[in-house]
Amino acid sequence: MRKENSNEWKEELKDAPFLSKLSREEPFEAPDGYFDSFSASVVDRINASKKESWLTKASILFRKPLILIPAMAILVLGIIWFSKSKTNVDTNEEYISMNYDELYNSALVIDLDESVLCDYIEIGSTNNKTTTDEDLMLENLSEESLINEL
Amino acid sequence: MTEYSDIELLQQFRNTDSRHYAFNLIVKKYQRRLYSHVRKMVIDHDDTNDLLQNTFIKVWNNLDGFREDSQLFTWMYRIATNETLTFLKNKKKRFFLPVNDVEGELSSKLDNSAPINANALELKLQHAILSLPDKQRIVFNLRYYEQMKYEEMSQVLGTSVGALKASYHHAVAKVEKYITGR
Repeated sequence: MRKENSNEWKEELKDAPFLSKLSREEPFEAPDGYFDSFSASVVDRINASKKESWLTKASILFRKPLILIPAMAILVLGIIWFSKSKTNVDTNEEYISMNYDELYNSALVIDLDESVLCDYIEIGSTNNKTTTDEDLMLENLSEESLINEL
Repeated sequence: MTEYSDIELLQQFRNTDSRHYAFNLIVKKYQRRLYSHVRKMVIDHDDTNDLLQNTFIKVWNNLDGFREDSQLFTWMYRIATNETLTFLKNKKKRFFLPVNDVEGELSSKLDNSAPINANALELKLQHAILSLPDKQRIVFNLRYYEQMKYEEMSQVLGTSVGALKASYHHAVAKVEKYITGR
């Protein structure tokens, strides 16, 4: 590439006497033997970068399930939670719109335990009986004996 | 060893069987020239080695797409130049250093570089070149040391011939003034 004695090049330095006198030798030197092994070191780096890029692709594929599994789990849990809360809302709205017979036949009433119902009936009848006895007692008391009782 | 022309090397590179062989020949053919081009810019040998390796890796990766609009060597010089300029730019960014501090760092590396530190005149010249802005330094080095044609420099730097001539003219004046003190 160098064109020694190039007239154009010399002409450009006519106003720079110092620069035109210098030898223009390469100012820096590479360490001994550097260029003997340089191409091998470049090829090594190319091969290493090929392996690296393969490993990078593999690690991305490996990492994907690690990202996808928690994401899928969150998504599934979210869907379950959403569908449950939606069912509760639907059920409440359904009950509000029901008439008595529908409500009676609905799962809520049917699901009542039989023993609970029996207990309820017994308590009800006992309460009625007590009330009746008190009434009878009150009816049988004379005004005089009532004053004595007080 | 027979030195193949760039066209022959490109043909061999495009042939899968001789691809590695051709690349090896390309590296051997241009490693010294590109080394001295980068080394004059970054001064330090280790930095030069990294940048030169990056340059040839890019050559390997992109040579298939080389369209031969320019010559192979100017294309490779362009890659090396871009690598070097990016390196210097990142150096300034990374350390939040003002331009003068990077110049100071390169200057101290210059003082410790053998054999240049043994020649006072040569050392002064290198300090003068170091005082130029990065792109002007490249213009000066390509023209002064390598006597590269302006048309080729234009392909390397993507700058018009007229602008390069003006830049070199100013660089010569600055360097001469720095050395002679006038």
